[in-house]
Amino acid sequence: MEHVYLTAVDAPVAHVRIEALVREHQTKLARYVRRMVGDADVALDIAQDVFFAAYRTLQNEPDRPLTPGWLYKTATNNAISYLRRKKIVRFTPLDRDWEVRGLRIDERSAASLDLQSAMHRLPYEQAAAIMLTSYAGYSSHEAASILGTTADAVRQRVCRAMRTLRLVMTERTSRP
Amino acid sequence: MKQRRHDRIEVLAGAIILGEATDEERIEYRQHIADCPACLIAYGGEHELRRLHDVVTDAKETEVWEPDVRDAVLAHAQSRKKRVWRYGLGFFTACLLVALIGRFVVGSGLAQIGPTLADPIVVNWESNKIVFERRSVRDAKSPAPAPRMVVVHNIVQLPRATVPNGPPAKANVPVRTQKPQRHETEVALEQSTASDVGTSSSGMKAADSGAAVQPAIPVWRRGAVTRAHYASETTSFGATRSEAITIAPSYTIRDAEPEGGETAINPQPAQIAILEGAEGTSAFEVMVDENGAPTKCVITKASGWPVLDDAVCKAAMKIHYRAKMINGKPVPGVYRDAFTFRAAAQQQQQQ
Repeated sequence: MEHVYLTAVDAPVAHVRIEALVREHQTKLARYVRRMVGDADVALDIAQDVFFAAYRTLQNEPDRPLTPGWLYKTATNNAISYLRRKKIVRFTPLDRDWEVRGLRIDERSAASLDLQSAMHRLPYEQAAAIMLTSYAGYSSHEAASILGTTADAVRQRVCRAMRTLRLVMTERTSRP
Repeated sequence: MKQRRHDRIEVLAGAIILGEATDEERIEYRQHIADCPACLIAYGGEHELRRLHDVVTDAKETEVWEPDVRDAVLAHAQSRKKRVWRYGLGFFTACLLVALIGRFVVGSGLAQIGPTLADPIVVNWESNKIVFERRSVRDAKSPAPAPRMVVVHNIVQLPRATVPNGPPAKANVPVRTQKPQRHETEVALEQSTASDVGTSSSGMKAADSGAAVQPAIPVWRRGAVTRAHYASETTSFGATRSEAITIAPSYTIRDAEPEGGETAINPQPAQIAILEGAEGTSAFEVMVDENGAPTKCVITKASGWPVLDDAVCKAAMKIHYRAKMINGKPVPGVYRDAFTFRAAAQQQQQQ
């Protein structure tokens, strides 16, 4: 009888929890994925997949604590899988509109464009490291646990990513 | 060593960018870039590192995109059960359709999957190529009859030892139908004065000498039938005195035979024998112990087709036998039989 009762309340519990997760993290997660893949529509699809996965997990284990780190980890893996699947050619485009087509017009500040240009040049690991730390606000230790590596490796990847960003900014300022 | 040093500087720079560096790490970084112009050009000073971090922070703050995936996620969560039912029903309908179409196609004869016995694929080897032919017999007006085999249960004539003065053995008498034979034993005794003696109660034949005298020694009698042979011989004293005593015990011998009669042994040759048109006669012997169980099967005349001989022995070893009886006592015995296999089509042609 107890088992029947628990089964009956599993679905509402998962429903309530996924609704709270979506309400709290959907914007940050979708923007994070958009920076990773450079496309707003793809970012929306990936964010939905992340929340679907969270809902399935909550259905099977209603008491499992789903942290934001779990969501970012799933989103990072999905974004990297998408980039590998699409085999996006990474090169330096002459037309910057190609790089920022996922950004709205009112979002196209100099810093935003520089960051997006650098993201297109970075390897997946460095892009994930800089997005988790400098963009999402995680420490190097938290990002290391999400990415499955060490804190020093995350710091090193952030340093190399920033070096690329510096090169992009130098190119923009030196461009006539 | 130098590479390790640069890796360490990258880690320190990353810590400074993220604001996690200690004072010692900052001092170490400063000392390194003071001595290493390449690192200074590549990464810059501490202020440059923090400025890069601020660029990322500024880019984040300029974002105004407000995506909304709440409705899609909640709708997906609510429609999951309906989707399972819909997919299950669709899968069941697809299986039903496939089954119905398959039954229609196969039942109407539109499709023949693979080669069959009536329509085989024949591979021929020519000088420089392999030719695949499909010899169809479906076009023939009369369908080819399936190959059959006729199994004839032979009657085996067993060689027997000749019985002196006994009735002649009838020809073509099967072993199993033979009546029990009486076993005869002759014992000859000598006496000083003797004459040929013969007594018989019914149908007794005279001995070789032919002289009939009354015996001086009584004849042993066992059973209802007694047979005495008379013999005469000359003694060392010159007197002709002979006497013969014939002991004919009435114990009976019954050979081993299968339980259930002649049809108990039913050899079933393998399909390959029928397809290959195997023919021949296979004679065999089965050793039967006192319990009636077969212990060994020996092919005494092979048919030329091991598959037929195997089938015969397999059938013979499969059944139970009545043990050979001697005077009411079971003893180990031998059962002999034979089967002839002929193709049915040839038999019909011969007829």
